[in-house]
Amino acid sequence: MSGPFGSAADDVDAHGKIYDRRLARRLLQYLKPYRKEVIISVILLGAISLLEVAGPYLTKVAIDRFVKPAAGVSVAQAEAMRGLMLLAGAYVGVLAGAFVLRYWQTYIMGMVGQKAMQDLRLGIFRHLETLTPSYFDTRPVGRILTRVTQDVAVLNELFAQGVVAVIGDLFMVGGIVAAMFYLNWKLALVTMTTVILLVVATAIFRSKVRVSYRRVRSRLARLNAFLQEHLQGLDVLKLFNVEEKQSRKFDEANKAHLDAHVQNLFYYAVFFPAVEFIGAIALALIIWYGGAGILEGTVTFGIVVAFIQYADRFYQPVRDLSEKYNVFQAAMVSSERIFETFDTVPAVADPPSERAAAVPARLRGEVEFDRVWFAYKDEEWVLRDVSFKIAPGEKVAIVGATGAGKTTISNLLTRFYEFQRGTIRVDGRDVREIAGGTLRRQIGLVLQDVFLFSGTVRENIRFGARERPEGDADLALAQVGGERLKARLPNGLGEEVGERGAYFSMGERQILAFARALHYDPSILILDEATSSVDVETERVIQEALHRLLEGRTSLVIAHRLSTILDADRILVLHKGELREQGTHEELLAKGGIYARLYELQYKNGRGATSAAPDREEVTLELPTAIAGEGEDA
Amino acid sequence: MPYLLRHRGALILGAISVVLTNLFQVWSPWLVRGAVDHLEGGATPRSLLGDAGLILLAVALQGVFLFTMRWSLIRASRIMEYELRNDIFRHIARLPARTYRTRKVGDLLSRATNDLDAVRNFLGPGIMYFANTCITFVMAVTVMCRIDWRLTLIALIPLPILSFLVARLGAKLHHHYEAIQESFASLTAKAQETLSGIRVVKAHGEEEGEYQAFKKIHDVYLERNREMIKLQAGMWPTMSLVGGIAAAVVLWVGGSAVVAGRISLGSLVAFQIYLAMLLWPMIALGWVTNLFQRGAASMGRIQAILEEPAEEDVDSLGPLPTNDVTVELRGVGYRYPGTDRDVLRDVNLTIRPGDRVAMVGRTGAGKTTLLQLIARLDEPTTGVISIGGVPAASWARSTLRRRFGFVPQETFLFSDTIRSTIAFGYSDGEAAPDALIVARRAGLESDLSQFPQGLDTTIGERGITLSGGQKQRVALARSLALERPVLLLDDCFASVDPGTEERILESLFDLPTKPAILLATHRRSALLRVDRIVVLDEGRIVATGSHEELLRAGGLYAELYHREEVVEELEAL
Repeated sequence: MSGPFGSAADDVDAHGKIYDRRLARRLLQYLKPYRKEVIISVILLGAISLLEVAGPYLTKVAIDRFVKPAAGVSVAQAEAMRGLMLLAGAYVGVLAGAFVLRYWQTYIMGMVGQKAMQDLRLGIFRHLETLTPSYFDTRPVGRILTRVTQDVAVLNELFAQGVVAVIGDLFMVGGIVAAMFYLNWKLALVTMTTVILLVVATAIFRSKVRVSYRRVRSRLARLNAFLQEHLQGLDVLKLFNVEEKQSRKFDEANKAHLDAHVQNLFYYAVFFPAVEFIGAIALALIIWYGGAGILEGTVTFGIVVAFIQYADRFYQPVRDLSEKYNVFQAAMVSSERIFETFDTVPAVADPPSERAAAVPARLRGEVEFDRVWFAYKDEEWVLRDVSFKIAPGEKVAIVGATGAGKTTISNLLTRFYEFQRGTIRVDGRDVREIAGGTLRRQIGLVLQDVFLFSGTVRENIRFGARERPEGDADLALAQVGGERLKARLPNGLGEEVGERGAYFSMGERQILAFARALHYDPSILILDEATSSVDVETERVIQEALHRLLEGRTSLVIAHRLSTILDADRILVLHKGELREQGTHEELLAKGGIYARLYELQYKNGRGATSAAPDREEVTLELPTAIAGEGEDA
Repeated sequence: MPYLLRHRGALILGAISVVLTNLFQVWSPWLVRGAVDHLEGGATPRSLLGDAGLILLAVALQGVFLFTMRWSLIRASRIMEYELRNDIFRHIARLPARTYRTRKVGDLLSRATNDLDAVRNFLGPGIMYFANTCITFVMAVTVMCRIDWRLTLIALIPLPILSFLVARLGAKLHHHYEAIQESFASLTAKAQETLSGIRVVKAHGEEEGEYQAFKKIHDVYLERNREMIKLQAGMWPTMSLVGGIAAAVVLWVGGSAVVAGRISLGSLVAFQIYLAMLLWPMIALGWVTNLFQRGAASMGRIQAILEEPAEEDVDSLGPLPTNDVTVELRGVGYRYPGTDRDVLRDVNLTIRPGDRVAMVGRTGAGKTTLLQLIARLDEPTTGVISIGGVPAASWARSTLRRRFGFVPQETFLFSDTIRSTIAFGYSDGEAAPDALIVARRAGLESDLSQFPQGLDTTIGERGITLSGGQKQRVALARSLALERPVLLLDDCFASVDPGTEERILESLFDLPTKPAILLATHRRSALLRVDRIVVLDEGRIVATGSHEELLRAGGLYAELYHREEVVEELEAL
């Protein structure tokens, strides 16, 4: 099961490199459409740093000009007051300017991140749609979803605050350094010595925290995996009286997680005061060395005050720069997974478009399996040497125990899986020479479990054939006997189906699926009959609808109802992956072979013939899976 | 909160640290003030060095207590988190089946993770920042007033605006955030829908249609994010603007005061540092409010779980009321809580020591419920179950459950090695029987040679994937290892092929401890071997007897048995 921590568990060993040139280049492709915005943003960042640097400089001017003029220069008190007011006004002006530019820049880059993320997400979605069901059958949908949702969201941070923010921080650092050197290069040099300390301290901190943070994450993943597993297996805890034992085990994992946190915490608790202290060294140096300069007359009071302020502002961008490490690392891990998904190729390849066979607008509907072999994995054959031919318009029922290979036939004909040996032909053409999409336009598929999409009932019926006029949906529903269903819906066909069609009964869902198939109007129809039983009246409606649906098309029905078998022109009996018997009901029954037994088990008593209540699900009996050769792993 | 009380030592140390670190934090600008004032007259390079040294000392002391503050308060919050998480797990592990079955695993999980995080944030950073903010504010403002109370008043005017803005914007941000989450959820739902229904999508060539539908939802998501970004983009610039304006005002008013000779230049410089010092706490105040609210809500959700009554009698082994292990059901009925569906009705059944009884019936006949009632995972609605003549209700659950080895129908194995899985029911250090012998009894021998590390192979999420049949046999071994006098086997060989099942049954019936066995099954191999067969239909026992008797009598058993015969014939074809 892939719970909320499905991806957390993946993360355990995901200590990636911070930078991977190949990944980075691919990621940058997604910023390309927004080149203009990125350039504007960088220019804005330059302007912002200028304005930010201006503040302390204005303070310096105010002090040196008006508050504490150099010895020998006298400024009238009124003039000083006016000057201060003007400078404060200029200060506010600078602040307002910085405010506007910063707002603008953040907005631009925020939207670039969102849009790049949208492009990426839509790209993955589109790519996933090209993959065959074989891809989705073999991995939990939750994990695939994580690629589309969470992993892309991680990249947003890279786009919005990664690259560009680094440039901004560099600008800021550069601006402050330039301003300090401009004011007094000696004092600047002295102050800058502490930067080395800061860089060293940060580097040590980073390397420590990187390790301890990874430990925290892996222990948290283990803790939560333990928790989730045990919440699912609570029954077993009770039955084995191990509540206490497992509580202690949980305590161990919990303790390990705590220890990792405490160690991490220690680094933080040391780092913050250390940074403060390095700042204090800068302050002390400015006071000591700058003060000496004042005494010598080479430094002004304003310069000292401005330096104190610059030193304060210097630390933020330096710290930010080191924070970016996490952003980059997380982005690399996520993008690796995302691109891995992108690089998955469909398991069933379409023929190159120039070689693809042309298919008439409507096939006659002849289907032929010619010595087809298929295995889902390795050599565990699910279909062995299966051959049959269905004439256009023929109704064929496929019967067999669970795992006999019935569904596989439909998976191969619809090109959802690639078969290993033999040939499948439609109207005499090898299906491998026809593009999957083109072929499927001619093949209708009704699954046992009817899948309704969010949207209205009408949209669901028109699924796959939206080019037809809207009224056709009403017509299709009416033709399969859906008047009663339609009348029940307050908004008619405009009714929203809601959560996966939860408001519709099983019978109604069948009717909707039939309407959808009829509206799609394929020349070949594959139908996996529902096993669930419905009331007698609905059963009658479904039978009539089915009759109507199969009329005039080639059909393969994986049959679960006796009436369907009796109605079929021919019955194919699959057993352990082989086509063992075929013929009409009477012929096969007379033969007394596999069909005769399947009939006795599945169909004869299946429909209310025994004492069992007809409205209970367990009445439709499926065979135990052990019968099927591959049952153990199914 | 008992958790807070338990850590009062750390909390008191933290509180003292908060006060001391702030004291020294406030001291250093004061020293800067002195230094600057000295520069105006009477300073020597020596005295400057002294001033600089004092500043370093002040900040060093501030740093020491900053460390102890973080170290004591945040660490305490982590320890409280740890304790609370342990308590939650302990409690959930002891909830009655009836309670936890009505809750989704995801819900329990989110309480033990997300809600716990919210509580921790409240207990740690929440309390720390709150205390720090208050103290910083009081101290800094006190000192600022000492310098010039009028200037203080003027400079502080913009600050409450800041707190107000943060609180307002914070609430708005939260609102937008929820809208975005909602939008993200529908985005996820749509992707999930399309990917789960990929067969239908592809069969109908609707890839483009689904793409457009997804894009439409994503466009809404993008627009909601735009609103959020607009707000966020304004948040930090607004704060630095408000803070900056306060600084400008100080420069103007304070500068004029220096010119007028009301305050010294040093005071002005110190004043600016104090102002910068106040900025962050005012911002934090708005943020802490949110932490408090979320923490309280989450604590409520956690409390709701902790207040569910637990099975208290599972830990200490109660006295063994009797050695007799005869299981007796008298008039037992069961009805799902809140429904009128009777799963079991008036069931009377006695299993004596060493009995081998098979239970047969259609799906939904009540077999699983019956077995679970015997193991006391739930209580019967009517009737009495007793063990050795003592009603189950007067046994401690721990003692009662130790009479039974139960193999559920749905195999659930924890991710661990096979060896540890087999010893699962034993406490660490308790002597468990030889894992190899047990594995052999459960028909696992030939499988073991295929596993990379034999008995020490890890199975489950972190290890190899077992086939359905292998899982069932490992689960059987896990129960057999306990050597309990009564085995309850709930159709637990469904994925095992009949041949292997036969061999397993042989070894079960040959166990040296001769346990009583109650086995829900439909397999011929089992039915032909047991002493007695109980036929269950719609919650009632409709027939009891040996295989021959029941077959002769016809009815449901004959019908089910005949089906089984056909199934096996079919298998042989």
